[in-house]
Amino acid sequence: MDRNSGQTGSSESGNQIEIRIRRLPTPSKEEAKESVYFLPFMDGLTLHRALEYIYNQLDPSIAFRPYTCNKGICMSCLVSVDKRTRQACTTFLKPGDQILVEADSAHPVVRDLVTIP
Amino acid sequence: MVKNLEIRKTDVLVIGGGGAGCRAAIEAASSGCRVLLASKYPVTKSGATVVAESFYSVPLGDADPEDNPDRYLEDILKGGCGLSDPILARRLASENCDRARDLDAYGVRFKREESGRFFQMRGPGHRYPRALLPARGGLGIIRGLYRELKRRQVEVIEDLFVTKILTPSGRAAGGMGLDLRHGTPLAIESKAVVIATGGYSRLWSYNDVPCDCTGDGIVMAYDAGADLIDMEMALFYPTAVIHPPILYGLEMPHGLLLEHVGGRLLNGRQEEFLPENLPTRDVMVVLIYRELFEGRGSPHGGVFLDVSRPETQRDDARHKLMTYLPEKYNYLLKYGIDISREPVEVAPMAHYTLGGVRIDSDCQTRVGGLYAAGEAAGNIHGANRLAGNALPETQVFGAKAGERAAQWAKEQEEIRWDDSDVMHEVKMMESFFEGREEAMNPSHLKAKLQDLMWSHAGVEREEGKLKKALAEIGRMKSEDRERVVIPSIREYNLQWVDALEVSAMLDLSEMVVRSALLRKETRGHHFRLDYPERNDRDWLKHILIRKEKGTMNVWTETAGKPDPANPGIK
Repeated sequence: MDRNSGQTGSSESGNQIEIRIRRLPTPSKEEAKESVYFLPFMDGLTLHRALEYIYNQLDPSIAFRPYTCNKGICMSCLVSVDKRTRQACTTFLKPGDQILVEADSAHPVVRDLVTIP
Repeated sequence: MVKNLEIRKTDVLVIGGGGAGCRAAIEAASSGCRVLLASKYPVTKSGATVVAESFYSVPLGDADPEDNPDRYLEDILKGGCGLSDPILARRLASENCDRARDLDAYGVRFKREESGRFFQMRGPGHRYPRALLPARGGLGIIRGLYRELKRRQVEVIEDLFVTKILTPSGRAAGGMGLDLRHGTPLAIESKAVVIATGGYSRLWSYNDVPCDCTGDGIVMAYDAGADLIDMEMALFYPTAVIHPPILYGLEMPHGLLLEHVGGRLLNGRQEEFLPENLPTRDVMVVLIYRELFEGRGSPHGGVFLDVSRPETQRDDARHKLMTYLPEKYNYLLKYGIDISREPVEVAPMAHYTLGGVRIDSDCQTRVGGLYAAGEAAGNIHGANRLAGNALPETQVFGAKAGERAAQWAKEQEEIRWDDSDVMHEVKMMESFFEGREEAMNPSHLKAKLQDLMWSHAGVEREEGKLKKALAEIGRMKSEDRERVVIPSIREYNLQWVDALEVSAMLDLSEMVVRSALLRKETRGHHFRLDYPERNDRDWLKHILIRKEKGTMNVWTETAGKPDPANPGIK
């Protein structure tokens, strides 16, 4: 399991958010790994913004659909959060959240959270 | 032949899966051509059309029979502050109604009166009520276009980032790019190419546009030999949310909220500062900035957009919000924000780029077989675009570009490209994997450039800052760009996308800054602190850019040449 830590806050901090992301390599069939990221809570933090933060600050190798209408209508950013399908742009994170994010299971996976709609 | 290169063949290649690209593909396919549409991300889930707000302006005259295309044209030209190309504006005016009816036929739903007529409202700068309200906004439009495109059997390749137009013997003969899903190069042989890749508002850190509005298609056209025009002209949307943070960057349609829902724009002292008649967006931006300059901003550096009412009148506000912008209002409620109860803070952000690829009235660039349409094209609106004119632009010019590209393709023999051009592009793509000392993360370089463009070449401009920006862009191009390295992953590598995008954005930034430096006046959205007046004597001019022998040449040309079809229009 890879571990990446956020720039601010420590693992004891109650405000910190823990996001586990299932990494799906393609095209090989080897078992998926998980990466864990800790990030500070920020006002107005949606899951899509958290993924942008992870990509920009913690791990540039992460793959997700960067496009968002930011209105919760286009469905570009569909992912699975704790086994339920969600739009990343309208999934709000709270201080102390711990979540597992995976590719939306209804569609074929390209890599990590990116699927073919 | 280049080894391991996947090649597809078609008659017309359309690059871009937004409103203009889809409409171009539909039109080209309807004339019997094979059409391939390449989109950087999935269609209906990318591009600016999806996020377009409610207004679709058309001079149908349903709400006021006095309206007609000629009056609409006068409004466009006035709004454009003398830089709107009269020939292109005339095309937009005269073909807009027919293209809107096409959308209606594709199943796009617009709000109607009980009588069956279209519901139309008046927007700033329009003298008559013209704005149609599409159900689900731009998303409703793109979904209708996508259904039609599928019906016409257009081949669509999604997640294909086209990076180059191939131009053997000076004519467009296809394109090539990066298949993002596999991380491999792909080339498309065609007889004509339509660029419908959108604008470049992502050049500025404060913007309200999606991540793919990076303008790389405009740089592709430039590299292929097309002229670019008025690149300094970027439209700043006056009222994008800066607070609360959860809504950051969300545009608040001020035309609807101020004129139809009864909202007000207030400075930090709770004073109204707009004139009674809502001005066009270029004027609004200047008026908001005046409040900020003079220390009357809201706590987070903007102004208040206040739709709130006392509790007893709140039902009326809610009813109006649900009538005019139900999706937006519901969305805000989902975020826990009820604008009928509390104001939000707003400020100008980059929203739409007026500059772009120079086209003639048939959407043709100066390169044979190369067409451009939609926001990627320049010189249609001039120095300011009226509200609700972006969506019709995609339809009128998308259809025209598709029609002309198909006709051109039918007249051409097959053209073979030069393998060395293809090899060169493959090598460029692969170069980002090569280890370098002091590696530069391309997403960090992008953010740095966006901050520079906002602080030095954003809403307010002046010579000193623009010159500093130009020097810094030069340094970024020669030093930082050369240090970009990406992780060695092929499938859907976002760093690869960023590396390719930022490379184009550096070129675009130089074009914007050089043009902004040259235009020593204030006009429309180009706001020079050191030249605060509009200067029609010296500056009724376009600024043109062309690549010649690898060098960026910038020159000016007198604007407003008479339309041969109607010399009366100035």
